[in-house]
Amino acid sequence: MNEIWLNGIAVIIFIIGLFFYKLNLRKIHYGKVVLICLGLVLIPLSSFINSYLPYFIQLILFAGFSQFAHEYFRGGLFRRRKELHEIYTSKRKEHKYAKEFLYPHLKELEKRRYELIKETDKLSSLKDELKEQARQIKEERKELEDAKKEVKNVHFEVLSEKEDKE
Amino acid sequence: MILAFSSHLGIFLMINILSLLFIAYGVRRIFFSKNFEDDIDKKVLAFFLVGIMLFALGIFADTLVLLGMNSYLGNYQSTLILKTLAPVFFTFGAISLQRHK
Repeated sequence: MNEIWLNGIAVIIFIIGLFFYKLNLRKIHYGKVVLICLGLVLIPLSSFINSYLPYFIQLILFAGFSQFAHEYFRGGLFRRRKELHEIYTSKRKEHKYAKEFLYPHLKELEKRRYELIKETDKLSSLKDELKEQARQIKEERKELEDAKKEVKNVHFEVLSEKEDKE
Repeated sequence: MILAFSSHLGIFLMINILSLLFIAYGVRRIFFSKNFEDDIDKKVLAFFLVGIMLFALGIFADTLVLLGMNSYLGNYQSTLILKTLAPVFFTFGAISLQRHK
């Protein structure tokens, strides 16, 4: 009997929570975590259907919870990279834990940054080469046009000389 | 309770331990990311973390029941109460999310 009462109360609380969650207008980055936490009420509730079911639902929900928490953490890392980097580079004792926790991720990010800088350098050198090639081609074209003009002039001269003779 | 699950006791114990491990992993990540949020988000996440910890306590009590170690904490009623108290804190979190918009 207690079970029914408690589960009923949990469901009512869940509905109230969901209602307030839906009313929220602020932009939050942990929405999935909040939703999965509210969905945890399904665990005691599912015991009415089958006594084995709550355990499996529990496993699935907590696996989802850890996954979404991980996504939230990674998202935050990229959102606030500057702040994190400041913490990483500071010499305060209270940031020791943060340093240990963030070191691999920051290392990866720095590695990627250097790779990107190298790639941009390569691309800029390529750009310079292409510019040089374009300049050379323009010069060649100009020379060809000049030569063409000279040939034309000579041709007209020859023609005019012929006409004079006749 | 034990008689009902006696044939699959190992599986249920494993599920409970796995759930506790998942909770530990997720809570650690949220607890760390919480420090970079606003004061409102910190409060909301604190409510949700308290709820999750209560649920974890409920799972621990359930594990004790499955192992046959009945005590003041480890009995069927306490698991039910803890698993019902957790949504209360989730709801407080959802309300505080709404209040400070």
